[in-house]
Amino acid sequence: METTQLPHAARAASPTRRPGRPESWAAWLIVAILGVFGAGGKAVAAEVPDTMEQRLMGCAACHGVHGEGVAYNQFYPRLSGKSADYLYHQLKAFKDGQRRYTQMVYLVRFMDDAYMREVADYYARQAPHYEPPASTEGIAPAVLQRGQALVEQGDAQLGVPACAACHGTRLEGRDPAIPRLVGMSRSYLTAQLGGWKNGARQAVAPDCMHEVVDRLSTADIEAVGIWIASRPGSDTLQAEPASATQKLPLVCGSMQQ
Amino acid sequence: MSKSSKRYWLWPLLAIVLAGLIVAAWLFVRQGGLPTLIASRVGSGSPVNLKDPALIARGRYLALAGDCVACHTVPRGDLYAGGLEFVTPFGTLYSTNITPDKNNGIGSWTADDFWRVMHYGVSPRGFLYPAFPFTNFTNLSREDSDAIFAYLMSRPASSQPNSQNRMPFPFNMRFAVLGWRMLYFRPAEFRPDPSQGAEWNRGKYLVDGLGHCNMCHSGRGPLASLPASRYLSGGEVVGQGWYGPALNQEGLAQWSVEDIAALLRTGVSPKGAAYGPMADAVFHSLQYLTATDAKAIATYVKTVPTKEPPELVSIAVNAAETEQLMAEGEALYRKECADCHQPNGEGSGLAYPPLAGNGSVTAGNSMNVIRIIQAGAVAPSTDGNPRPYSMPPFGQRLTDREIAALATYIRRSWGNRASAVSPAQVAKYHGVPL
Ligand code: HEC
Ligand code: HEC
Ligand code: HEC
Repeated sequence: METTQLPHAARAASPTRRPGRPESWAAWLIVAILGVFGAGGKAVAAEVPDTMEQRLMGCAACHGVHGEGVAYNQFYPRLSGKSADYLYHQLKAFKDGQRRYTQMVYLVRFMDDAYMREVADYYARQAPHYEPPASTEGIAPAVLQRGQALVEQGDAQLGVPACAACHGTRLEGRDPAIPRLVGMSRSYLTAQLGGWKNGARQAVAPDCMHEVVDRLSTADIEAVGIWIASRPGSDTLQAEPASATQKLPLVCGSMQQ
Repeated sequence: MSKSSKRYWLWPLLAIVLAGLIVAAWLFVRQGGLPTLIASRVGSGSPVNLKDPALIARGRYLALAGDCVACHTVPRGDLYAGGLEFVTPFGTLYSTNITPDKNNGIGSWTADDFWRVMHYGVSPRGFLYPAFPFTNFTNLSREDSDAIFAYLMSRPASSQPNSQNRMPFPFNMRFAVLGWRMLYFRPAEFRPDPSQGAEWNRGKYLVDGLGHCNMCHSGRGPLASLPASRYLSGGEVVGQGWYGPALNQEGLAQWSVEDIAALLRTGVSPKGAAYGPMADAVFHSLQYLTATDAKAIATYVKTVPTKEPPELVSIAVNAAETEQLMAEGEALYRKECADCHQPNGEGSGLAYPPLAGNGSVTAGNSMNVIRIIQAGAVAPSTDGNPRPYSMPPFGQRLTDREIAALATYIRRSWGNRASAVSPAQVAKYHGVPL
């Protein structure tokens, strides 16, 4: 930014002036100072990369630089590799007041549509971040079976549909509003499901997740968490498109908007 | 005997009542007089062709400059159909539908009715509450009022119904506003100052009129009034928990006219960036100003004399505690902030604003600093800066004490000389809506 100062300063200190004289020392001092500031100024201006990664450092505080999540708080969702359309609709929902998490609403309120698309695209492009499939060693076969059954078939007696019926056969999620489950950690899954059961986590009414989880016992929740966390994710796994018009087993408030 | 003594008591009483009535009548005249009670006394302007495309286009520009859309639109609601909530010390009210709908909007109004609202602050529903900036819009010329009316009437009608205000007695009675008006409102006609140039006068017209900058940038008096002595001297934005710094010679001493114009039109500048309510004003309104108008505004605000020193919030942080906070703040700053704002607080170009010499940072009231560290910020998307950089929130991760230390450090480093911030002050902003 102040680069033009450098040549001038250098000229002032040209060898035609005898060294040792006070003014030449002063000149050298000026060169040194301007050098530091000039270079500093230039470096500073050039240092801010013109990338989405840099522009979204504010989001990184809670979602991680690449949307991989943050270690200090598992509550903040991962964004990496989620469908661009899904992410864009979530941003828009915050901006338009349908989703009300204050901090998000505040940050996206004055983004325009084009920028929100670009933000969504940025995270969609990042490699999805999966927890490595959790080992099932030492887990009673009955627990695994129960988990697999609930995820793949549900429990007709309890009136619980299969997770896969909504979240996709490989739990890859479904555009535009049903999140991917594969790749989540067991502790995060059981914490979220527990939250739905006791009301700590809520969605727009009718809150289908609450309805489902309310019918599960704590042991069932554990089993589901164990099974899902043991499923492998892969970089090629895509969310099912919105056009998959398979009828959902329940009515969810968050899907109707 | 008893009769004459009665009269003796009566006379002074009558005199007092009479004097009271005279004062009331005088104040009534000063707040606008008969046109505020009787619509037909407003008088008509010269006839206008509301369908004139040039008039409509000018009205559109003026409506943008006046930020009508931000206050008269709710998320997902129809544009200009009202319903936005205003939380004031006197209760909660809602803006109204100003689309040309005949039942719920202003579809059956004349240009005179509209002028009565803009100039006098009175609509067919009665005296309007000063959450509607009629104390500013009164400065508008009749021609500009007509142009805005033509624009609004050219827009699609929306039948979105108006919301019911929730105000306690006596504020729920529109007539109560008359008392406020008698004390604090005088309809005004903008008169250019002949000793100043055209640019300066245009700037003042926009600042005092459509721009309504003083709604957010002035200290308030009793009953949320805007006393002349605190004009643009810095003040809290009513009900929002943000502080509008002083817009005057002293407050803007470090800002060039170009810096200010850049902030208004793009949301970023070499001296500071827009956030909180200012981001709102830039996003919905100021970014649409022409370069000429933005420069005129900047030229004017830089000349506003500093009348009253900006409000100082005195807090009890003693010297030893301040020193301790400074030390903790410095370490935290290097770790959390210096990447973007630089170790010397200079910032990085337009991406990251400087904190050294920044009036928002050193304002007597420290609320902006506390709030932005808690909540982070994204500058508004504008044509000049469509893809803004962002600042992370820290409230979810740092303690009140850490935030107080950071706030103290940036307010007292690199030549900044503002008061320290205590953890108790930071705690006050938990849960204050953003
Ligand atoms: C700071 C917020 C704000 C801004 C900016 C604003 N208004 Fe309003 N306006 C209000 C509120 C609040 C009311 C309702 C006041 C009341 O009910 O007493 C209102 C009322 C009105 C009314 C009266 C409608 C009626 O039916 O009585 C009109 C007309 C109006 N505004 C037009 C405008 C125009 C035109 C602009 C832009 C030049 C504008 N407003 C900008 C907040 C605002
Ligand atoms: C990733 C970069 C980044 C980091 C880290 C960061 N900021 Fe910021 N900061 C910004 C941006 C961008 C803005 C302008 C935001 C806006 O305009 O909405 C800003 C604005 C500010 C402002 C308002 C300046 C003004 O123009 O009035 C303050 C005060 C501030 N930051 C303090 C801090 C402090 C204290 C920290 C460390 C705890 C910090 N920032 C960390 C990017 C950053
Ligand atoms: C809705 C409230 C609101 C309105 C209207 C508003 N401002 Fe602001 N303004 C703020 C707030 C709050 C800040 C402090 C946050 C920031 O620096 O962005 C601010 C900051 C500024 C700054 C930076 C000052 C500094 O020292 O950092 C300038 C310049 C400014 N406003 C000019 C204007 C002008 C000119 C107008 C009228 C055309 C105006 N504002 C209208 C709320 C408002």
